[in-house]
Amino acid sequence: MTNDPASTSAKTHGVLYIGMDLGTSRTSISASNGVRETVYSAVGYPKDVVSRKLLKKEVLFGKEAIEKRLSLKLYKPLEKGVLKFSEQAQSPEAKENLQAAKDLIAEAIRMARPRSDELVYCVIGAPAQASMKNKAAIIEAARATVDSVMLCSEPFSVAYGLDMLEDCLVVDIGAGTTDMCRMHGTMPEDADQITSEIAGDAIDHELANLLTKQCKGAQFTIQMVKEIKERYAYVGEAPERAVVTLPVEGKPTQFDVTELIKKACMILVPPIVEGIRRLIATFDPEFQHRLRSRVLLAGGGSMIRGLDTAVEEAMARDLGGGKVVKVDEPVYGGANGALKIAHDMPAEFWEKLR
Amino acid sequence: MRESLTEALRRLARRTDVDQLKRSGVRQVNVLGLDRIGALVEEAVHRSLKHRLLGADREAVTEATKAEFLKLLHSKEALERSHDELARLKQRAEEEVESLRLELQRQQQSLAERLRHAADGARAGYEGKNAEIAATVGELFAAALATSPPDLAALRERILECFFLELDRERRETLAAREAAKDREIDVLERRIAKMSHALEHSEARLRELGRTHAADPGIASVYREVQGLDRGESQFQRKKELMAVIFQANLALQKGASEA
Ligand SMILES: Nc1ncnc2c1ncn2[C@@H]1O[C@H](COP(=O)(O)OP(=O)(O)O)[C@@H](O)[C@H]1O
Repeated sequence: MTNDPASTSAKTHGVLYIGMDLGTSRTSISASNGVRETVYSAVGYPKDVVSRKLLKKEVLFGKEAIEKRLSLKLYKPLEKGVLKFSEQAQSPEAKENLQAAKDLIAEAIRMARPRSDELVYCVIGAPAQASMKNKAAIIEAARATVDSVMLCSEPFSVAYGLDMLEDCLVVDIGAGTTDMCRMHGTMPEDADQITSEIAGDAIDHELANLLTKQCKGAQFTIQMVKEIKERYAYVGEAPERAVVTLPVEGKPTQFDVTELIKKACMILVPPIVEGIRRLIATFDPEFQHRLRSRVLLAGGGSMIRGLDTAVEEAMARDLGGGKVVKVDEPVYGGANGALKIAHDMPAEFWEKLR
Repeated sequence: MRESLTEALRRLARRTDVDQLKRSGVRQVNVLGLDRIGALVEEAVHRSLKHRLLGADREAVTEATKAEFLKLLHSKEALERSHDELARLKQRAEEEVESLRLELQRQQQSLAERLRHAADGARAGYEGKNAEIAATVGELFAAALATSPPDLAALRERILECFFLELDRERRETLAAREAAKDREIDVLERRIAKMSHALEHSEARLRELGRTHAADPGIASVYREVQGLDRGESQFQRKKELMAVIFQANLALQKGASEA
């Protein structure tokens, strides 16, 4: 086999597409080199020289940043999916937060492991209700590390990734908010979108309250509650007993929390059904039944076992029927869709935004 | 060739387990066995060669291909080795910095110790001096009170004189002590500390440098060589094309807005 130097030196510029889901709690990417990664949306900088020496890093991300938060100035740059403080761009908090967002986006791109000789085209899924200022801030943050970047509404990218472009309802259950969005073949607008504050964090708080009341003397933190939830979350029939060990006055003690978990998770259902009802009621009557029969659950919260059935049952009772499905990959649903959009976007559009 | 290919693929593959995939949210994967991949590669090579070459040549080329593949594999191993080498260098530099830092700390402590000792010695001396001064002042008072009426103006003169004498000697001694101390090890220590701080800085800079080199990741190539765009055969082609245009327009407006702001 000969090695033609001319052909190897002529650089073949590959194109790496990256789809990114920039979430409050998690940022996930899916890329056209097969890489899929996710990181908690947290960025930390050493508090002082001593911490910097100890940590041997200028900036930490994700789980590591959260674990070492005592030695760090910690930022969670996305609040309800929009850049914190981006409405008051000149305040010091806004600047620090923007820097953290930049570093987070750069880290997410690094996780995709792009080659230095390839073009990087990135589509970022951002909340549909984000303001212009907000979106501009996200774009600014991303432009530092990619060749061309576009934003797209997050629920839209979830639906696009599943080829469900017409008459469907996306229910994206995140940490801070549950975003419900109506798709009807065009870009969703404000009127197509309803947001509820009852989401993952609200379940954690509800479960913490129930634990305080029902498990006398048990000691726990909200982080422990979240982990219990993520391990056992369900509604409807209990798929297993949830027996957890919590310290009581320092002594490990077992509690059966099966019923409490169900009770806490159930707080999601009424606001979701109410949101669906409103989005259907304000839709073209001729197509309402189609919307009702295509409800899509996405986001981390959709991993609650039995949630699809529970929402379906509530819809049957309150709205006269409906069909609910969960996305296959709740963590990567948004990123996969954004990747597909990046792929389908014509070259000349990418060029014009460079 | 099949055997070594399969083995090579196995070595190149990243290992993960089902639980780990689940935890990261992956629910479905496409499974393609290593054997099957190996077979596919071999098949592909054979097919493309079949049309171009005759028997003997084909064998030769197959051999060459195999050799080339193994070479590639080795170059990857070499790369990994150089990574290992860097990691070792980095560790050594880290150890060096650590021991330098410890040594610096020890030296600084010893300097502080010495200075404290010197101060303690001086303090003992001061106490003796104080007693002496008190005695002198006592004598002066006794002498002044012996005359009648006591000569207070002379007493004041004598006390001031004694005071200035003491002060003068004290100043001279301090200066001399400082000189002496300088002559002794302190000077050496200070110089050593300065030098070590410098060495420490240097080592740390090198460490950072090594860290950067080590972190350099060649990356993973995209499966695409050029910009794609919608495929005409795609379902709902027309609608998707319109949607892409809408997304683009919104982003164009966004970028304009951002650059004007
Ligand atoms: N297995 C699980 N069961 C129930 N909730 C989960 C599970 N895994 C994650 N979650 C919750 O999903 C939420 C995060 O969802 P995600 O879509 O990543 O949020 P965001 O879009 O806000 O970043 C968190 O509240 C998290 O606790």
